[in-house]
Amino acid sequence: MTQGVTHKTASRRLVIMTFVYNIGFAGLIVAIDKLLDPSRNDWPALQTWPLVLLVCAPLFLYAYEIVRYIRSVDEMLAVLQVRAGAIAGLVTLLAGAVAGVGEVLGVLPEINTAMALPVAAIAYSVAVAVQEARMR
Amino acid sequence: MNNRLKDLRGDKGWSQQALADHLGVSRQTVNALETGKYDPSLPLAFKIGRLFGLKIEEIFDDGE
Repeated sequence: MTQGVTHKTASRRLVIMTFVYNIGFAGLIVAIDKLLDPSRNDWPALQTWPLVLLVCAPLFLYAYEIVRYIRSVDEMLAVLQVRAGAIAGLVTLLAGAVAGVGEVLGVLPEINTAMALPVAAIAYSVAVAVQEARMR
Repeated sequence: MNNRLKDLRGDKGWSQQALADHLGVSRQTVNALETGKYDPSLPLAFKIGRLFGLKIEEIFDDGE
């Protein structure tokens, strides 16, 4: 198997798993929000933490997929992924800061912090696409 | 960093994909190396040198 084929297979798997884990994350958020007892906010902290960990599960699995992908591609493609991750992290922090300050100043509505995941995913995807296009 | 990779590949009559297969990297990486958009790691530079039977400094030029 050539490196090109390996890269294509690994990329396809990452795209599919990105979709699966983001859907899983969104599904868990919706399930907790819509299906569980609305009085959950009164639960003792020890009972609600498992829910938080449950929501984090797709994120941990997604992080594992990214590490697995980076290990399966060559050094330049791995550098692109790491750089894209750094850009996505920065964009997510900036978006969080803008949303937080806007909320404090009353110019933005309260935004669910769970929105950080799609922001990070989109920023990461765009950063990877732009860099791969430049290197093509 | 400038390099002679494209010329050396041409001398062998290899496509970018063929060189990529010899080096165990992707075609995009070979293209990025040839166009100077990416500088290889030392292990990859040594691999390239061994493949063409040349020293690293005979292939890559940092302009110093």
